[in-house]
Amino acid sequence: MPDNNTSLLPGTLDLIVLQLLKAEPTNGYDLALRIQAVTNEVLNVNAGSLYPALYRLEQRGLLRASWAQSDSGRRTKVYSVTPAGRKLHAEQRESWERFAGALTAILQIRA
Amino acid sequence: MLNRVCLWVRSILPRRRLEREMQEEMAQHLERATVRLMARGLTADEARNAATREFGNVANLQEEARDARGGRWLEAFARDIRFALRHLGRKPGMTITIVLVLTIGMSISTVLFSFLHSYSVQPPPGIVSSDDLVRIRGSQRIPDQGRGFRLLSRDELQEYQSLAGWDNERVIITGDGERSALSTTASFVTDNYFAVLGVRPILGAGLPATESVSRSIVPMAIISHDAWDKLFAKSPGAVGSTLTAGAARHASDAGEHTERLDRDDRRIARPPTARDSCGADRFHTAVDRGSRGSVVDVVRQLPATRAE
Repeated sequence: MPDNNTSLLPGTLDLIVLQLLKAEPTNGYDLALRIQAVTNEVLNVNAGSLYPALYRLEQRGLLRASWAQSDSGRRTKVYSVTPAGRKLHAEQRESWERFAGALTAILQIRA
Repeated sequence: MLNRVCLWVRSILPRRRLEREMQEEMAQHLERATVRLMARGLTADEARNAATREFGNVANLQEEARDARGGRWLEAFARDIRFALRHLGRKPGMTITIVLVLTIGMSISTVLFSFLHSYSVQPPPGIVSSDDLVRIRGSQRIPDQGRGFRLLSRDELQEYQSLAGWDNERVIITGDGERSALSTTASFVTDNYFAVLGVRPILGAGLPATESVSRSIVPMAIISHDAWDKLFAKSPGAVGSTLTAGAARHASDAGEHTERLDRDDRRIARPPTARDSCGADRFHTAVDRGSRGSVVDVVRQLPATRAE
């Protein structure tokens, strides 16, 4: 059975995290599930990559973490994007779109 | 910038709380993954093992998370301190020896540095620190004068805005009516000495300008605050009173006369008693405004009053 999981390109995890948390603040577990769901399980970010990235982004002031009650009544740590995070997200997104556009243009060349 | 500092402080101060929160967050992640896998038909143990495999090595992950959060050096430092304290606590004899040696070593270094800093680098109290103020040292033998002078050439003199000189001698000073006597070191100075140093007496007008003083000059004295206290009990009436200064070795020779010597248009006032007591190789020192130097000898005797 072929492995459908694709490795993350270096530097893209921060953009993924910022994009998803900008859309909806959530906790680490749900964020990991959402990455899998949005990408049809093509991207599977394990906890070993996700949590250090969350802590690093929080440490840099790009994410804000707060404890809140979940729907099930449990205390859960919810991450949201700060204004600095939104600014970095916009920059990274623009950079990525430029890169992806250039790569797509190259790949459209008929061999 | 302030935000970054706050974040950094927040990351290093409540380490225990952050650690507890991190463990709680990861435990919650594992628990929810276990529940999810159990919903797929796995037993509790199987689901737990699968969730743990999926999650990865918890201890390693927590280490990575701590690295990502920063401030690891503080933890390492705290561990080192705890280790050192435990080690020192087990060997009190060695601890006392180390503390004593360090205390003595640091005390000596501090005292020496303070002394050198005060006397070599810092200007004396009362004198404003300035790179323009330098001390010129050196001497030359002048056989016919019977004493040493640091002679400056005309070129050298032109480098300086003004030049002041002094000579120190032990003297016995008595005030009006010989109420009291004080054995001290007197500095015989040029008229512009205090002007060059930028020192103003707290009482009295200071020395008059050279131009206003005739060659048959009446000797004047500016006394220190200490001398003002001992001789005049800090009385404002000290100004204008008479002082008698005699060389300590020749108490009968009252230093009531001052002679002026012309040296390349720079006059240096000295009393006969100073000349008599100086050897041929006695140094003469001068202070100048032109580059950096020290005037320590002067400041120890900050002027307080002027008696004529």
